[in-house]
Amino acid sequence: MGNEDLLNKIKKIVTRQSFGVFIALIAIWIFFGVATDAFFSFNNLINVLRQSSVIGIITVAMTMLITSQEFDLSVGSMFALSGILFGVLTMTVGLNQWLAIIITFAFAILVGLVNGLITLKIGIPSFITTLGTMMLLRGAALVTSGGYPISGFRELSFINIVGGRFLGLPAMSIWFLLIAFAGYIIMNKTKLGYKMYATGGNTKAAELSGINTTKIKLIGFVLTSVAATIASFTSIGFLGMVSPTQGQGFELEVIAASVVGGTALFGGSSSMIGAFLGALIMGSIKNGLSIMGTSAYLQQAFIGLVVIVAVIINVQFQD
Amino acid sequence: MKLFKKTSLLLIATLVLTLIFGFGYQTTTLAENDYEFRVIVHLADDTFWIPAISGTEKAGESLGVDVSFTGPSTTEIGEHVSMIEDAIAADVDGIATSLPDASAFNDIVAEAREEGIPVVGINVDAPDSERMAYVGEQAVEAGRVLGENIVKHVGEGGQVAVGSSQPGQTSLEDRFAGAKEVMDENNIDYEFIDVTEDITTAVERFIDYYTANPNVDGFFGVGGLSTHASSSAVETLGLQGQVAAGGFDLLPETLTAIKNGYAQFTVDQVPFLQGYYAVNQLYLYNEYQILPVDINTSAGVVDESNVEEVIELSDDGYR
Repeated sequence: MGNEDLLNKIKKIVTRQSFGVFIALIAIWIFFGVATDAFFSFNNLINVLRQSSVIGIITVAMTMLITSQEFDLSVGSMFALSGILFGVLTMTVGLNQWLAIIITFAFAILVGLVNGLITLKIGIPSFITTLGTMMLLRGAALVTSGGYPISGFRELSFINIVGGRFLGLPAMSIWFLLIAFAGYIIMNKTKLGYKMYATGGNTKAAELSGINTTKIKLIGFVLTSVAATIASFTSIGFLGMVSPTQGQGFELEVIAASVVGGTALFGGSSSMIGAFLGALIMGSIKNGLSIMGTSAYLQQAFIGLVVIVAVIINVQFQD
Repeated sequence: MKLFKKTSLLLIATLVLTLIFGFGYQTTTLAENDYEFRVIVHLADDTFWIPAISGTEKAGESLGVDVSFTGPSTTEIGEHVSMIEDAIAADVDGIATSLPDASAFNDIVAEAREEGIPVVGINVDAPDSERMAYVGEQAVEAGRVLGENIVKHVGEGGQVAVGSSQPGQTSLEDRFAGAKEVMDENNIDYEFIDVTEDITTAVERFIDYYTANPNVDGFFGVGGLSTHASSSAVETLGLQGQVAAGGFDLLPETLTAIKNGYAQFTVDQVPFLQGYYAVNQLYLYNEYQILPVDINTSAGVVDESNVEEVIELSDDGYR
């Protein structure tokens, strides 16, 4: 009897979607561990975690949004604009940094609401709405900054929260771990998470059972925009500067990380552990190839290959 | 006869000993020189870098060292910093990197130096970082060369548009500043236009400028893309002979335009030398503790007098 229980438990873990992602991550790590001496050094594993953090933070929120059957392509632009807005408020206007942070987050919430309301109230697919806001927000970042990067953040005390190291870990990675944990709790232990799965799985049925699906999706849009803003703050903490051109193409990397992690592209099914591992996979591939000194061309091709393989496996799973 | 035998034996012995020592000596030198250098640049898949890649390869071959050329395919500073971080983790013997932001690279360059890895800046400099030397053009000086050539082709008091694909990028701004000095001295009426990083849009920006200012005497660029666009605009508008064009870098399109008379000149920053000298400096530092020194690789001018030979060398990947 005891043996069977154990066997069932193992079976449950092995057939879990995120277990496959975990195996993929380990396989990639072994590959790079064999190919280079440096990959498995302690410092480099910390580097992998840090380098996965910006994409990872946004991936957590994007996974929730995709679960409720919507997309947000404007996250890369928001990653630039929120930092630029904060930079202009503090450096150019000379506003108090904490007030500037509050205004920046208020703006992020507004952007999430605009994305959501245009999509849900007017009935435009979120793919199109956020494609529009992606360009709009990028333009706004360039206009607001005059095209120039903004630096000088090291003088602000808020940099101690988003930059530097705690317990040997870069602040950026700690934010990533905290947000991934929060995402796990929301999706697995709260009503909101349950409602997101229900909304994405079958919107009509969810509505019939009394779930306000519009509200649920709106929350998803707001969280995604806010996550891009947090990611932007951690990037400022790490680099001490923000550029209006930063984050181009991040939307696709984020969606790729989420899908590699097992999120169903058509909503209703996802795993936060998988998404976390998906972001680590994207970061590990970049890091490993870069340690090997491979050319930039090869890196893109390799990441593309991994995404395609992951999506094929993903689709097989949905069937 | 005995003497002859003895002499030949001695000769053979000397020969064998020389060979043994010679070979032995060579192998030990090779083992000692087992250096690995990493060259990291922004926009690494830009055709601009082809001669720089040739330069690093040539230097690597002649010195018997291992050199890899890599970098982010975008201007994403975060990714660029990560790749330097990865080179440090890979424990390379030297790093040559472009430094396309005034402050964002300070921490990572300091980290490399702390780890005992020499760092040489190439192409774009960040003088406040701890890079040991800079190999590239002196941008303000190169900008003055642009200014002098603008005056030469449009005459005193002319009206010109000067395009940039990345306003705010330090070296492009410095080139413009240099050009401005000379243009101010010669009463040239200039407008600085943001042509974006997209070639089609860039050509249209020049065409739009012409629509608004039909009396314009010249289109110029402070970078490779904007220069390519300036000559394409002259060609598209059929203004050959009426509107001058030119600028920076040896993109194949720019060279062809000079040959066909759509552009008059381009300033060469000799990317080959940036790769070649940087690798040599890293080698000399590792081998003999010779400190890297600043090397100015600018600013020769290619015009109709020498464009034919330069095109040949460009096809071979050297210019």
